[in-house]
Order: sequence, then C-alpha cells, then structure tokens
Amino acid sequence: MNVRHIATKAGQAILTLLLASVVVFLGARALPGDPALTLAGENPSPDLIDAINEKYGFDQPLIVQYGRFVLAALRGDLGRSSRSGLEISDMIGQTLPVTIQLAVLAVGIAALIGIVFGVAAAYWKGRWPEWVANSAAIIGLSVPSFWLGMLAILLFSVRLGWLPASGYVSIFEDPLGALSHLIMPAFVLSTGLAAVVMRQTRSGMLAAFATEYIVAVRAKGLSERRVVINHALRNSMIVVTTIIGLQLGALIAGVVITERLFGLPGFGKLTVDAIAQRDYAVIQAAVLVVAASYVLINLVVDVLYTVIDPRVRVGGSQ
Amino acid sequence: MTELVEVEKSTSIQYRTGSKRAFYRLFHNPLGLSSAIVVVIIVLIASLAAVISPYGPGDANFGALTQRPGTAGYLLGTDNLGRDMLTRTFWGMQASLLVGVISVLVAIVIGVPLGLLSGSNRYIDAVVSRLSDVTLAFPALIVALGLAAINGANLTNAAIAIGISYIPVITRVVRVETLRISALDFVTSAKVQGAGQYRILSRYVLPNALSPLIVQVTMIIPTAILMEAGLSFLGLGLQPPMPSLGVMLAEAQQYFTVAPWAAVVPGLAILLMCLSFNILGDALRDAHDVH
Repeated sequence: MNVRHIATKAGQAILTLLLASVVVFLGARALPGDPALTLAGENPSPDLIDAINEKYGFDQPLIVQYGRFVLAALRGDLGRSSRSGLEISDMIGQTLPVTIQLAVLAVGIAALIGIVFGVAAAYWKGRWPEWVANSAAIIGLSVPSFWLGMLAILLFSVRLGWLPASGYVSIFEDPLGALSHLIMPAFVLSTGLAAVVMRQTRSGMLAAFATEYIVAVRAKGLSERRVVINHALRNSMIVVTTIIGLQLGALIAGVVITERLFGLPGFGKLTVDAIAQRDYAVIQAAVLVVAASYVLINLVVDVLYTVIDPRVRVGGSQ
Repeated sequence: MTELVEVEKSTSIQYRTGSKRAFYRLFHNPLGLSSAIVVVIIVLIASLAAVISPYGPGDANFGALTQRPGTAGYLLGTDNLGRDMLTRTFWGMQASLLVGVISVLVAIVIGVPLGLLSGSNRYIDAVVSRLSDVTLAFPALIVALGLAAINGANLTNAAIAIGISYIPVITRVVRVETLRISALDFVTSAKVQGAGQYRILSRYVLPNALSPLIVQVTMIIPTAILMEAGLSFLGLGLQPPMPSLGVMLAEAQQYFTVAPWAAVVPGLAILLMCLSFNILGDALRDAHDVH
C-alpha cells in the first residue's frame, strides 16, 4: 500500500468536498424566495418571521450560517423538508437503498455485457464478432436510455406481460419480486455504461494481446481460455473500476430519469419531486449527497487502484 | 521533372499538413463520409425546420388525433392533440442541435483558455484541477436542477448546465495538448527568438491542439443531445408546447400504449442524430490519429 499516495488523494477529496459544500450553500442562498417566509407558511406574523430567523440563524452573517450548515451536515442533520416537515436524513435513508440496488445491478449488467463483448471483439479482431460488438457499442452510446425503457415496457409489460412496468418491492422481503421490478430499469440504465466498458475492454485486450508476456504464456502452452481469462483480461478489472468512477455523473443522471420512467421510489424521484414542489431544503441536501458520493466513490476508486494495479502501489508510472 | 512533382504532390497528402491528410482519410472512409453527409442533412433539416415543415409546430387538428404514420397529410402520423409528428420532429431536432451547439460553445469558451493556462503554469494548474474536481462532483443533471430552481426551466439553462459539465473535459484535452506541444522543438525555437507566453499559446500551441479538440467536440455533441432529451423528459428543458424530442417522449409516455409511434419517432430521431455524430467522431479520431 502506498500510504502517501492515498493520503494525497484523501486530502484532495476533502478539499473538493469543502469547495462543493460552499457551492451548494451559496447555490441554496441564490434560490428565489425568503427561506423564513417559506417555513412560516401562509400569512405569518412579523414575530413568527423573527422567531424563525433567530431559530435557524438566517439573521446571522453568511459565514456563520455556512459553519452551522457544515457542522449540522457532518452530524447527519440535513434539516427538515419545508413541505412535509419530515427529517431530510430520514427521507434520504428511505430512498437511497432503492437507488443503490438499481445502480449496483446496472453496473453489474454493464460490466458483464461490456467485458464479454469487449473480449470477443478483441479476440476475433477483423471478424464478425468484432463488427457486431462495435455496432452494439456505438448504438449503446447513441440511444436515449429512457426511450429504450419505453420500448421495453411496450414489449415486456404491455405486449408480453412478463415484467411489471412500474413499482418496487424490497429485495429483503421478496428477492425475486424485487428482481422482476429492477431488471428492466437496470438493463436500460446500463446501456451507455456497457458501451463504454466494451470499448475500453476491447482496446485494453488488443494492447494486452500485443505484449510479450501474452506471447510468453502462449509459448508456455497454456490453453487459449486461460491466456484470455487469467492473463489478458486481468487488466480489464482496472479499466472497469476507472470507468465506473468516471461515468458516475452520467450514471446519476440516468438513475434520476430511469426512476421517473419506471416509478421507482428512489433518491432520483425524491430529487425531481423536490424540484417540482420547490422544496429547497431537500434540493440542497440532495445536491450535497450527490456531490459527496461522487467525491467519495472516486476516492474509493483511487484507493482500489493501489490494490489492483501494482504499478500504482509502488508509486511507479501509471 | 514530372516525376519530381508527382512525388511532392503525394508527400504533401501523406506527410505535410495534418488537416489535409485528415480530410483525405476521412473522405476515403465510406462510414466516415456517409456519417458526414448525414450530419450535414441533419444540420440542414434542423436549421430549416420553419421552412420545410408542412405545419406549424403547435398546429393541432382535433379531427385527426393519434393518426398512424402514413395517414394522408401526416407522413409520420399525429400525436394525442392531432399535431403533425414530422413537423414536431424537425423542430425537436432544431432544439436538440441548438443545445448541442450552445453547450459546446460554453465548454470551449471557458475550457480552452483554462486548459492553455493550466498546461503552461503549474500554479494555475493546481487551482484549475481542484475546480475541475468540484465541477465534476456536480453532474450536468444536478447543475440543471439547480439552474432550473434559480432561473426557471428553459432551453438556455439546460444548455448552459450541460456546457458547464463539459468544461473539465475540454480543459483536460487542451491541457494535455499544451504540455505535449510546449515540449516540441519549434516552440523552444520560438521562445529562444523571444516570443512571449501569449504569442506562444495563441500562435503555436492552440492551432496544433485543434485536431483533438475537434474530435472531442464531435464526441460531446451526441452526449449533449442525449442529456437535453433527458432533461426535457424530466421537464427541466424546453417547455411545452414548443417541441423538443425529450418533451415529445415525455408527452408520449402518457399514451404510448395506444399510439406507439408517438414514442418511436422522436426516439429514432435522437438515435439517428447521435449515431451519425458518434460515427463521424470515430472517423475523425481515426483520421487524426488521436487516441
């Protein structure tokens, strides 16, 4: 383990998080409308406004308000919804598991499809499997995923009646039911990611096949299956990890749209509903959660590098 | 003598100017050539939507609701308000392309100077890379949500949000090119001759960084088009009744089980646009040898 490398990355992540929290805080203050008025409800008395201002510290200088905001967020206190009055951390705690299940399943499908197609395209370079894989990848990059979702609903739910078109059941109560609800959204969400993974796997495998160590293991007489899977494909692990870090932003956007299409009660739906209801406290918290998870997951990816890739581990060239 | 001229001609194609060689390669690649032609047709359709559309984008015919494609007068059918799908698709393509162009412009105007500066000064580089990290932590959709909450949902805000999210991408490409080109001999020679920083960046570095930049832009446009469709689908882009392909899909979601073409047509239009830009981008990348 290269402790110094990890420490640098962690320091950068903390700095990024702090800057992101400033952006979120100032962004929330730039929103139209007086927060005290929003909280007070209809026809508030001036005393009530003053009381709210004092209680939430809206009358304090911005820097003090920011300090309180960060300290509260660090304690897990994200405030209350100005519409429902519920604790925002509870609302996120209920919706985030749905989204994580969807995202994990989608990443799994994308990795599976992407690696299989990528390996096939590189192994049978210049033959029909490469052509098929390349075409699939460029279509995957070009197709709007939610449109694919609508077509899938039309086919599998309306025409064939095999899968439910919307809704959600917990994976802990009914695993099979949960899978039937999640498989179509997860597949739809995975298209773009699968295409990127396929392209990277293909070029990684092509580079690997050209190296001397592959020539060496072939000369040793290993079976083709072991050459491909045990030796050439190992590098794809690094590729897939990198892509998931880089593509996380696109994945988050995809999650929001997919949840909307399939009526999944996840974090994306929470965010879109908050926008529609102008529930600024929830919007602010949701944006902060997205930014924080983006930074944290990329930090994890960086640390994983040092585990997977020996070159990074010893601090050599990447 | 003629032989000599011949040789010079062929070398000028193969070795001399990068852009000529790239054009030569692009137009001798059938896939690249045809995608370039389709892109030109798409741009023409999008910019001439007002002229070539058979109807107005909001013209409703309540006597011809959800007509199938191929109905007389409605080549691609009508939607649930009796509006011509062909007309709305043309206008939707215009909105998509507009968002693609505006977002790329936003990303270039901010990203190119940042990339040039961070590639030539390591203090600026440190600051810019932190700012890039912060920007990346806010996906385009989140920026769009924020802008919509502050300024209201419309096409320009959606395009700006998408553009902001691509600034780090453009910055990174230009930064890498600046580092690479600055180390080349002809830049050193210009420095020795007393060329200032500004002159080196504008006269020597930027023109040589154009190829990878053009390739990157061609790759960004389809993702921006997809993003716009997604934002409009969520109600964060162009507002109805103006047609955007995403708005059309969002509306079709209400009744696409009875009129599937209302969902199929705009989706196919998005697919066609993105496919041709992506194929062109791949062909340009191969032609320019950028990887």
